[in-house]
Amino acid sequence: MTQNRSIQGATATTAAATAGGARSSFTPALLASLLLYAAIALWLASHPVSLSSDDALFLLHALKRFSVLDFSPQFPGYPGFVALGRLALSISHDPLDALGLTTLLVALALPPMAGLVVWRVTGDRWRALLAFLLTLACPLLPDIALSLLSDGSGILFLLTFLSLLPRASQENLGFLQPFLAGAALAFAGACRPSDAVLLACALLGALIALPRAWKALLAGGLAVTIPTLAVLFALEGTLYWQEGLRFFAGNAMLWGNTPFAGTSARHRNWLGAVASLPGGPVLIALPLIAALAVLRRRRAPPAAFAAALALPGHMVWILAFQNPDHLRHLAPILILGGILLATMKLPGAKSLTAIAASLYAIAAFWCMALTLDPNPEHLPPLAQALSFLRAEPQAVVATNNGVFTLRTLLPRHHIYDMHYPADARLGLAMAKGPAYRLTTTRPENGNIVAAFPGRFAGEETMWLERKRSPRPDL
Amino acid sequence: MRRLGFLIALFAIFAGMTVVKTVPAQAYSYAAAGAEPLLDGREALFSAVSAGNWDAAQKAVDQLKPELDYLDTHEQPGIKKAFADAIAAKDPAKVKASFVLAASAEIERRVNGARDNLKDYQTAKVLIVKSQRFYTAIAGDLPPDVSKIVSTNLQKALDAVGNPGVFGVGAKKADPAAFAQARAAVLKALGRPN
Repeated sequence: MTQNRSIQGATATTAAATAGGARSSFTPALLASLLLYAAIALWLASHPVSLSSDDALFLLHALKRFSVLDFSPQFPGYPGFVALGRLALSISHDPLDALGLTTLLVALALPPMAGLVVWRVTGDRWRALLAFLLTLACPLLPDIALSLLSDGSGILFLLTFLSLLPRASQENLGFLQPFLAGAALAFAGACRPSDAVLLACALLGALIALPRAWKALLAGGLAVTIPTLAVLFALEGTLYWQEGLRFFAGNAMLWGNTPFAGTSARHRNWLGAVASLPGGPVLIALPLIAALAVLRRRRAPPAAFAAALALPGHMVWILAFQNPDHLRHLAPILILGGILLATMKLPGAKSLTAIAASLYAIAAFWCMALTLDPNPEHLPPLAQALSFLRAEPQAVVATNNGVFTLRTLLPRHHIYDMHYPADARLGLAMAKGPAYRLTTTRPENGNIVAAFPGRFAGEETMWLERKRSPRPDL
Repeated sequence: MRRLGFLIALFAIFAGMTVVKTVPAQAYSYAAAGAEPLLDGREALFSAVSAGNWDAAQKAVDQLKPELDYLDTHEQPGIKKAFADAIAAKDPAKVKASFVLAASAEIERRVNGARDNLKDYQTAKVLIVKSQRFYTAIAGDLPPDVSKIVSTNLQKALDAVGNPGVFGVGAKKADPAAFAQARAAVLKALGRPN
């Protein structure tokens, strides 16, 4: 009996010591993580704010004048993101800086928000810290922060939605929390309507996991969706939907490089895009496996279930309708993947979870190491090309990357749109000055005059190819 | 079942509104998303010209006949002959120049339409957006000074159209004087008699 007591006492002491040890080792780990976070935040903030695409230019216009028909911004309008940008504009007063500030803050909010989601789901701070670090290591985080686009905002409010879901479906929910969750999800949609499938799948997951909360979730969603659609309708009328049809058809069949585009317009697919990203297959496969593992669990926490359903849904959507030239479309998969890996509990195989998370982290660091340009002074490829072309005032350029930006910032140049290749080729052939093709596809056997390297994963290198003499086969 | 019926009815009303709104009010569509034969046909025309296939180029011009007929009668007398001469001379530069002329006439047509519909925000706005589409199609071919003036003033014209605001909040009335100034600048830059 005494021996038993002493064994119990020893076990209790060991457990307390272990808990104390865990507590004492967590604080330094947290401090180190926060230091790393601060360093990355400073590094990102020290980059120049510069337009990297036409989409960023359109969003910039939207901060001054919102009109989807006038490409301020392009369809679907990203009204939530524009609202965030205008909020930043009240602080910075310069639209470009406001846009840069918005995307930077959104990107920097993602790791803590991912940590919060996992903490809410598991109640385990180590897992929360793991999610924080995996999101911080996401190779597309610099792209989200610096490309001046809306991708990060949609993910941020999706994570807000997940963080507002209760830990277990049996919990007494009340009305306010699921209502706010629904509102957050709808605001994610307002920021990033092109991620509608991702968000709809997340909502579906939440509704399946929390059938009792459907009224509050939908009420919250409609509380944001109805006014947003009403504003769009007031500003654009039914023409908004017509522009939407034109844009959707154009994206699917003409310029979006999707499986539905004519073979002449297609030059890459998602398989090739993921394979060409260092560590890409691991970064995509592990989140998918984690999502399937969560979906198989009968009583997965609602937030994990919603994230796990959203992830494959988004995969299918981008495979069909998004441009594989834009790796940023993978960002929701990578970030939800990090969260799911940190959340995942495999029965009787704790070490398997740790191995999967480690493998994911290694792949992320590997990808970063091979794609990241650490020099924060470097400009995006389009801005580099602008500087180069500015020194050649007679140049004629054909491109399908940044036509509107080049025309706006190089008003003295003749810029042709390669989405209309015959027109552009004829324009180059008739050029009096030097004729160039600016492209993200490395020209084979071409006369490459300059290369403008991307700074991180998701930012494509651009090549400037000189078309020597006027000829019809350009 | 009743709910389903309600949803179907709601959808039908919405779809009906869209269809009614898209029916052209005049001889040509005001819709930004509506077909524009000149823009839609240019790739076929320039592909043929680039390849030196002048029979195909003639066929591409034939496809534009209704649009060119309209322009020849109302906006740009002689545009049909300009295309015919360019094809007969097998001269790519002349074909390009004819296309720029036709697109300029289209810009004038839409800008004038916007002027006449300045009280109707949606119509005026779409017509300016259409003008921008035609401008975008020829922006690479225009002399840089002209391009800059047209681009800037089409934007000014769009601002001058005003803004209905969000249910009246933030509404801005159309400014006919500013619109007239922007319109005159666009037409002058494109060498259109005003």
